[in-house]
Amino acid sequence: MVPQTLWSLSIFCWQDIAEIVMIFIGFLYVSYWFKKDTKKPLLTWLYGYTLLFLITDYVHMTTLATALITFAPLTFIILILIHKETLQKNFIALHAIRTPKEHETYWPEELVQATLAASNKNIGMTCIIEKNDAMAGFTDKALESLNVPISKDILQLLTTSPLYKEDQLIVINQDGKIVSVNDSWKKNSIDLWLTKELQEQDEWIQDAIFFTTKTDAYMFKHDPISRTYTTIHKGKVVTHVTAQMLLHHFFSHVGLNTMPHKTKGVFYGTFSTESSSEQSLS
Amino acid sequence: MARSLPNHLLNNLSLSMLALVLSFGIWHSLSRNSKTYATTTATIYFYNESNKKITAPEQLPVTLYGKRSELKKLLYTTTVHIDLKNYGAGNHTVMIAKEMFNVPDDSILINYRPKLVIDVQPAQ
Repeated sequence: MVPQTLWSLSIFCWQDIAEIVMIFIGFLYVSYWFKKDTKKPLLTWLYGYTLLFLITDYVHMTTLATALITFAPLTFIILILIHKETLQKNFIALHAIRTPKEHETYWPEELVQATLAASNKNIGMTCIIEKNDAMAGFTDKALESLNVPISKDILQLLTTSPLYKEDQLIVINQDGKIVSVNDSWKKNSIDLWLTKELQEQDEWIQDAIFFTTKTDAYMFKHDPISRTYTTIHKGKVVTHVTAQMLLHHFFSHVGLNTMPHKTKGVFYGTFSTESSSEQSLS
Repeated sequence: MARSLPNHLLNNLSLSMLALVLSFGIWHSLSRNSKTYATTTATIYFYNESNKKITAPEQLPVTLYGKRSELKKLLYTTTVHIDLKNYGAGNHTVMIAKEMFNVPDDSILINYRPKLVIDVQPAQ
């Protein structure tokens, strides 16, 4: 119970005192901040506006008082915007906007490193890089679009997950984003009939040859035992591709930008003098 | 700023005082029509008490709920009126009803002591 002397100020309980103190602290904080602006008399404008509201309220000019209290937030925002510190920030921002780089690293290299890291744990990876033709119509998505930028850590996280199926597809787009994982080919009866032409091949190669002839996608599978890749592009199968060669394939077949001149760390792809073999759908 | 708030207040005393006045003004304007609770004391008045000597408390604590502007008027003016017409000599427990208070209709009496013990003796 507050002293009854405060009743004359309409203060009846401690909650009223708390409310006044909170408004006072907020008002004081804003006052100090506005006072810092030496270019414009923001503090005078704030106090003038508040005083005008109190006077109109006291003399029962209800319409004006209501209008002033209604537009108070807008007025307050305007005062904040024209404060010199905010202006300075905006000025700086207008001239120093820098688009954040999505990839500080060269994503094909991250991808290859991730496949090699996965092979250390005896995990294989089958990836398809979509170019101009979206793979959405040809694959059954296990997940909705991920759109996660490729990084070795993300791929490691995905491939070590118990939900990851290494015989399924990891779809990647040309911007270096993982579109989805655990995708499977969407095969109808005609597709099944057509792929019978390639029955001597493994099933995944049959599917890969068939679908890469339909699209401009580039596909590769990493064998964790031989640590080499099998690539399929436009129906052509190339086996025993090394990591270094795969990176060159990305440049020549996928149409990625040239490789960076300087790469961080030591690339630990394996080099092989063994020539790769090539076959295609006739 | 929070750490050096007292220094700020002292260094900018006029600004702080003005801010306090305006803050109170804003609060007062915005809260004037809202309802709230207030605890006060009601003065006890007796009538039909001629030729009787009464020993009783002078005030009774009460809690009211109503518009802030109305509650302000009730300061020092809340009263309870007790009719002693039917009370003879001796100790009595008076049951106090809400109707005995002079509280306006738009204010609600939330809490009060319902029983009051009074001693009535013939005046000498």
